Amino acid sequence: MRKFTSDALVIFEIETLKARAWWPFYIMTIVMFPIGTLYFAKWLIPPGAEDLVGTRLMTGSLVFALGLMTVNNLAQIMLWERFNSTLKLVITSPVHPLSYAAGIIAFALMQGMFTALAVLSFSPIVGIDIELSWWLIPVLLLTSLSLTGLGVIIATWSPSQEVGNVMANMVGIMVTLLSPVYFPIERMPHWLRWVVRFSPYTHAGEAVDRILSGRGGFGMEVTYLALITAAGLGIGVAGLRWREN
Amino acid sequence: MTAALQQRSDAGTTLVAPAIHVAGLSKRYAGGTLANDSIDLMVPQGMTLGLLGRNGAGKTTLVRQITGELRPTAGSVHVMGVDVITEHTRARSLMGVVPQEAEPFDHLRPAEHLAFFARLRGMSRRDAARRADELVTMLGLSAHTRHAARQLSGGLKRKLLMGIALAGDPPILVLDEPTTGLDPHSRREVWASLRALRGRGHTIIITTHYMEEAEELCDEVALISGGRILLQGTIESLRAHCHNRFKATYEEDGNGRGLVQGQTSDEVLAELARRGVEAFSLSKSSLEDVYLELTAEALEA
Repeated sequence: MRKFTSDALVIFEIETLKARAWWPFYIMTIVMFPIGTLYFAKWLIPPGAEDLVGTRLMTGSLVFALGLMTVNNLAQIMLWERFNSTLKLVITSPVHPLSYAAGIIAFALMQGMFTALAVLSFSPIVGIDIELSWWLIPVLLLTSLSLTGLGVIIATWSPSQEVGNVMANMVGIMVTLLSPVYFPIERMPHWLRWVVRFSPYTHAGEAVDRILSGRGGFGMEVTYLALITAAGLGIGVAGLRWREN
Repeated sequence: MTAALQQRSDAGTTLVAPAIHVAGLSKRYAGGTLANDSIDLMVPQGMTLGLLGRNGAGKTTLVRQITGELRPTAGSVHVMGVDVITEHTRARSLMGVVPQEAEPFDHLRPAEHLAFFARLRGMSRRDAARRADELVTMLGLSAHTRHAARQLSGGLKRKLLMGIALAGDPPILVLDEPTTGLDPHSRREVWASLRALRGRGHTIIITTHYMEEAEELCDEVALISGGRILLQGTIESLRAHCHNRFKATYEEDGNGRGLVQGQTSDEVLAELARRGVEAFSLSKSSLEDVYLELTAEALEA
């Protein structure tokens, strides 16, 4: 366990040092995309109707940005390292594949948390009152983690970097757009509600919205989210390909 | 044969496991291509073995199976008695590897690479930093400590990859064309480092296209062709398998250099006399001559 943690920390540090080399791009990624989605969503609703939409605007932007960015960042990092042969250096070292995955996921999560901070700090600027709670931290972490298993599978099984990039984008966008994160699930057709209940972002959206609006009663949603995340990570770990057949 | 098969140590009294023991190793890719076919290979501890063969002969496939990167279709690989297939992580802790196509992390500096990879091999932060400093000096990277890997030349990157393989000071080194792309000076610096490692008892497997490199560094060489090991032994013993063990070169009148080859020096001298050549240079066939003759025969067969 000690070796697992220590190796994951080394991988995390290696990734974190990228920010030293390319910090302007990291800041742009962390801030511009989520703020862009926030304003995009805001402009879609009629002027003066923000109160009717309330915290859903913030919730949607948070879940959309976190979900998409974490899966995307994770997959892009792993794809780059795999197809540009830096991963070979790790594979030929005595590192367990899960340590590598944990280090990369931790880095993607850190970016996700900065993204969340950027979105939340914009709430006064877009004129939306939100309630902050410590519960937000585990819920946002679970939101980020929920589809990372899928990101790992895409990155380790894609036949090329290009295919992997497209897959990561498509999956992230499709799952997020199909999930009711900018609006309540009740607005969806009945048949689709059954489908989207399997999406972690459906439960993330509901939980985050209840926290931000101070309504409470999000325990069941967090439980669902945790279960789907655990299942997703389990599938990701099982599907992680390290050695070639 | 299994990894329990033992090798007699220099002292002749104790028995130790061979550094690398490959038995019946085959690799058939999904498309049906047979890259390796029932390879048996034994590398005693402390030996430097060169793997020679044409492009596509199966050298890199064999190396990747030894390092555990590639799962074999059949056969077994043991390093220091540890099964590479079932005890993958433990086996890798015994090997430092320079893969043929690996790239360092663009954004990391040389000492950062070396320290991180030393930590991945179980060193503490402090020991890893010390080891990184040693390797930076040993590999002649001291003038580039402030440069990120993306700013290094191809040769310096190869040196850095060597350093990464050495980071944990493993007993076995597997080097897949480690000096490709290096200038002659850098190549000789790497050779000097490898000689020093040999002197300290490391076991080294090296694939190379440079015959001079194999002659310079290797105790034994193995010739690979068509996914099989044709021959393994000292260069002298391989020479014994050749038809042409001796050669003489001489200046021809306006026609460049002439060449005479033969199984014995007498045979070569007789031919030179028949041609009326008085000034010539007589030598044993080089490893390159041996390699060309034996691999050509294998291809014809």
